[in-house]
Amino acid sequence: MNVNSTVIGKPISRVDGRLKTTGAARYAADHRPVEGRPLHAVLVKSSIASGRITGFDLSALQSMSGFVRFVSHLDGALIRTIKNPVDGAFAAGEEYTPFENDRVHFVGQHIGLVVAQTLEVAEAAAKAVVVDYETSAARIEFADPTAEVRQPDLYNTGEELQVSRGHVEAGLVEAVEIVKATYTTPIEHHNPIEPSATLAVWDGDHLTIYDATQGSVNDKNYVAFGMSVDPKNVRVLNPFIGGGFGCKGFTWPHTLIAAAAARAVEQPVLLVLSRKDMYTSCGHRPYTEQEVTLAADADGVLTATRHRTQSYRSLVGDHVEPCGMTTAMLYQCDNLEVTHSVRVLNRPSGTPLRSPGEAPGTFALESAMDELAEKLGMDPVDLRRRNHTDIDQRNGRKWSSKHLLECYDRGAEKIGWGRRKAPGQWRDGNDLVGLGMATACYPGYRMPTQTRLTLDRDGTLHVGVAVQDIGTGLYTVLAQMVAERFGTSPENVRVLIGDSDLPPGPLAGGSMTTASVAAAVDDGCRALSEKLRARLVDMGHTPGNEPLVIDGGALRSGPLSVPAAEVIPTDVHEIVAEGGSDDTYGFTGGVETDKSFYSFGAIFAEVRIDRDFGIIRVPKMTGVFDVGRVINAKTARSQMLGGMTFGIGMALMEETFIDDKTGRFVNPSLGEYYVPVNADVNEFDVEMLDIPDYDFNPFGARGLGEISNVGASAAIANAVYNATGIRVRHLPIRLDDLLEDLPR
Amino acid sequence: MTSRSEIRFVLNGQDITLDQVAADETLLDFLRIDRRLTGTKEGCAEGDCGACTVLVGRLQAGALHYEPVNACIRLLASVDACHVVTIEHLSGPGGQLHPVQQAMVDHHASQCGFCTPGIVMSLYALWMENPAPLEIEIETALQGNLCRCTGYEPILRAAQAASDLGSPTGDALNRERNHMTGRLKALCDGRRVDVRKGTSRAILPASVDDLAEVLLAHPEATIVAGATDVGLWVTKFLQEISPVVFLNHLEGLRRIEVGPDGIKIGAGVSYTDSRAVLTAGYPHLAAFWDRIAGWQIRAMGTVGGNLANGSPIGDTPPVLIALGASLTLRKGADRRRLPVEDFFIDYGKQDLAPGEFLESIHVPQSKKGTRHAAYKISKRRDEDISAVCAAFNLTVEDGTITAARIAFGGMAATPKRAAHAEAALIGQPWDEATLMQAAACLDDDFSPLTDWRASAAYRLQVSKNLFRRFWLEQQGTGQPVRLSA
Ligand SMILES: Cc1cc2nc3c(=O)[nH]c(=O)nc-3n(C[C@@H](O)[C@@H](O)[C@H](O)COP(=O)(O)OP(=O)(O)OC[C@H]3O[C@@H](n4cnc5c(N)ncnc54)[C@H](O)[C@@H]3O)c2cc1C
Ligand code: FES
Ligand code: FES
Repeated sequence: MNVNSTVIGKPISRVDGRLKTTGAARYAADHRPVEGRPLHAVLVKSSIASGRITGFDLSALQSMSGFVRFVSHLDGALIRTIKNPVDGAFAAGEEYTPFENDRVHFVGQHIGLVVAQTLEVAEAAAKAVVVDYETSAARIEFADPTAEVRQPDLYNTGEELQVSRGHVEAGLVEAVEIVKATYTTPIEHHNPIEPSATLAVWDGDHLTIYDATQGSVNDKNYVAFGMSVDPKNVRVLNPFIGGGFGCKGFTWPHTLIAAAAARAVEQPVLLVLSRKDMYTSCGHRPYTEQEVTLAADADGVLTATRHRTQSYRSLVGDHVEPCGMTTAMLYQCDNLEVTHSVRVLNRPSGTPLRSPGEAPGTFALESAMDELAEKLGMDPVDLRRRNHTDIDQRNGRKWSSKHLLECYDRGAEKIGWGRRKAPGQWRDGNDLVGLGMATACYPGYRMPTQTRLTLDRDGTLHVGVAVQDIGTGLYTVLAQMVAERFGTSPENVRVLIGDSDLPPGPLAGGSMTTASVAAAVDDGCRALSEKLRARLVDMGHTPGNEPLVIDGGALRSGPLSVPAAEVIPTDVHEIVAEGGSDDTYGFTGGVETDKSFYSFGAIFAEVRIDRDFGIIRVPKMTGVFDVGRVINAKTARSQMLGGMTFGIGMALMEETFIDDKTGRFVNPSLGEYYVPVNADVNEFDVEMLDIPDYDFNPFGARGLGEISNVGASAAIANAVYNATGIRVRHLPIRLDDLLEDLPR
Repeated sequence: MTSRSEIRFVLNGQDITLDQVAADETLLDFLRIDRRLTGTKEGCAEGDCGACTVLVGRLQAGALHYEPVNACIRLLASVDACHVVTIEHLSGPGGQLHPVQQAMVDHHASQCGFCTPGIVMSLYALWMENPAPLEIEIETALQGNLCRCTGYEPILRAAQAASDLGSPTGDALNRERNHMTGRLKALCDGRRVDVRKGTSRAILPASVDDLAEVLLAHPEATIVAGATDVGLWVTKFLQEISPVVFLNHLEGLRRIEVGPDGIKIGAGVSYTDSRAVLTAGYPHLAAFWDRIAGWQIRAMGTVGGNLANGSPIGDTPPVLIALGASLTLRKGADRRRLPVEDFFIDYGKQDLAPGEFLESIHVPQSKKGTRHAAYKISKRRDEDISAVCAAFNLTVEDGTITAARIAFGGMAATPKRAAHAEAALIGQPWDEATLMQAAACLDDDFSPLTDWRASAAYRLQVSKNLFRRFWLEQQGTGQPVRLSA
């Protein structure tokens, strides 16, 4: 690896910038079938939380001109029953088959679909469907004593959810200070600005889907299974996705329903979810209650740690919010217990939302660390240093590359940690001011990925892989990686992604795409290089040992320079090579190594609180991250800014309310679910240590989409405590949490 | 004169004539589905996210003026005689990027890109009006655009950089301004527009008198001004609104007159257009006005609509009540006038008869010795509905408070004066103790509700604290004490 690269790590502008700023980038709902107009579809969703559908009254629909068809469970085998959703070939958001039967498990479940000539008619028809139900007792309230409680063994990464080591009770006895507190985090929704959408087009038994999905390959396999067709006959296209943050990760019922309806009516069908649909159709982060116990000796060394998370799942979705996973690995502690339990409720299904587990989990853990520091009379940063470890506490392995202490140092320096005062002591006019910090961390994941590398007669390189750019900048990053390997500029590389017909890659989740493609691109470039060298030899050249450079339409190796047009015979147009990696890292069952892979960071926040109104502002946030090699300084920084903004949202405003009686979400809109607006965001100071982790992949990158959201809410809550002396143990911190008790 | 049964407007460069338009058809669906102009995005269909931002140019007193609007809640029939400009119209003939677009690329202001066209359009509108904006002006221009990816900072930097890449004088809309003005003038034929699709019907009266006549004939009609409330009835609640009578195009209702006894604002005047005249007399309203919704909504929504909608958490009623404003209501040829506070009878019930409409709002001139403030307390800094809204208007003569009008929103079923608090002020010395005594009287004036925005206790406490804040603000420099960092 050339550390002084001219392309890797550089702030290269995104190559898709033109398409995006001109409106020419097409997202799922913007596409149309090659021929003809699609029919428009609108979902009919259940209005009860539990029961059965006893019938549909469609009499009002029949007379509507332009109404085409209503499909539901009454249509029989439109969709093949999916028994085992996570069977290796695909991951679904819910472990049930849409329209499988008459059962209703939550409010907002998809129970029918109206198809019509126009959107107007489809909307009117969907509203006119009268559903008859037989309701049964619903368990909606979190504390419902009759709800079944489960203790799942494993998270979807294969990681243990119930962890125990040493003797917590013994550790508690050794301690001089103990913090035991319960923290809660709210229901949150991803709310990407693009709502999910699916355009399904059949041609005989071939299906093309334009889908707003974070995983085209997963989508393809799921839909092929549900439609009983060979996966080879299904093509999913997702060249642009308007954000996802997890809700477009696993495939959700609406995609399958659109495909089934299109087949039933023998015409293309376009289904665009409304903002309200988004709240019950593709997951959310469930509410969590976390009891954290931290015990330490007089020096601040942890003697016992306990983190018990209670959350919930729906009847049909198995997502668990794995809050304690961080706790099990982060700080040196021999006596530890981490548990997770879920209540089975008649609520819509949960799903990963940007840093699932880590974001709510570190709110609890890092708030508790702050409380412990306060009790011990220690500086919160010092307490974390005291318990720092170079060993992964779960398995005794060394970290592949961990520079967390440096993150603390740099962060403290940048925010001006020395300005921090005792709680409630820092005033500025009407404001109370405070500083807080937290540790951030996120696992390094890598999935098997294949790539196709092509050189054409112009000397242009092409790289193809079925991954997707959900905004992270993958188009640009892939071009940089290939350019680096062939000593050329990213402009000479065409990137093909967002098409499931390309060599398979992982879904965009778990911050793993960059690391996964890094290994595959490296291998693909090697394969192409070998082919080209062999070809040069066939042509009678003798390429030296110098790396092959492809630039300016020619291949060069040392003194040798041959035009691409000569290397590539006229009858073939291009030379193609495939390469990839079958390795999995970070998931149970992956590559056996003696190292563990994680990204780390430190987040610092300054808050100001208006004494008269309790309104909290965050004038400054600093994040210092150790995420391996940074491939593109612009796209990487952008991820960090976005993640820290998520952190502000989580700390101060994001929350979905559920009506415990009816099971409805109360505020399913962007007007009432608050995501941060421009004015909520002030100064961000982001630094990346940029230390390559070549144990992880040949480009040394570890992925960085999610880590910046981890710890951010704890840093803000800790700063609020520092400013006011008031400890808020729930998120978001509401307008009325502080006012009464603020120091005057 | 006979009415016209089609609507006509210019879309980018093209003349459009539509003889079938439903009352509830939105501009966004027309653009995206009918015209396949998919650069304009739909993120919410409720005016919240700004992904659907387009520019609408219209003639105002003969001059062509462009403003950003939310196409998702802008009703199609209301763009009659307007120039609609979408993102597709921005790049140069050779495909070169517009300065705003280039700046967005250079500063990495687009991540997933879904919010981007809307943000480009807002920044384009800003750049045309104000090519060298201050940071606060950029922030104000972006209030109506949500981005979930970038953290906004790169967008701000792009906005600052745009004018380095090109000046608006050479921009296509400016170069073609005279030509387009002529085209739009030709579309304004002074006739009533009465357009239908199936049973759905939309009427654009020819004049204010014609409006009065139409409403007499159709007292059941839905009056639509800026559609920033009514648009949501359509997109969010799927309500039937036909027949609809539009009034925002009426020059006669968009007039602002300043006379010796005050300011008269027509019911069709937008938030944006009323800002200058109101803040000239009442400078304290400038910051307050900028915290109502975002630019797009302020360009569409009217003060009249905010009053007529009757929401207890509307932002302008408390302000207007405190200023002692009154309304003119008209039915046929009959007019009546009443103080704003008397207009609000109960939750969701206003003093407005079928067939009657709000014609104008009268705001008295600012008097000597008066002290004013208006506050909006909300969770999110922008694009949020008030948890509590308050307006103060105190007259102080020789150190004594001689008159007091204090009104609150979010504290009762209607916007309401704080009668006990006012009484506790009058005749008392202008000092902190008086204000704090008056604040304590709020317990008698209000028993607010708890909802998910804020608790009853919070609302009451904050309202009391506002008296202290008002006092502080009136001291020293006279500068407002900012509500936030
Ligand atoms: C995203 C968003 C943000 C918002 N933020 C705020 C905010 O911060 N503060 C705030 O106060 N409001 C806010 N609003 C609501 C606000 O925009 C509206 O209340 C607006 O003022 C209504 O004006 P309009 O012209 O759009 O009315 P319309 O929607 O056209 O009409 C509203 C109501 O008034 C009636 N009406 C209108 N004009 C007349 C008339 N002349 N005579 C009789 N009846 C009439 C209509 O029939 C209807 O019942 C927001 C709305 C949106 C969509
Ligand atoms: S689509 Fe969100 S404001 Fe119009
Ligand atoms: S770039 Fe994704 S919403 Fe703004």
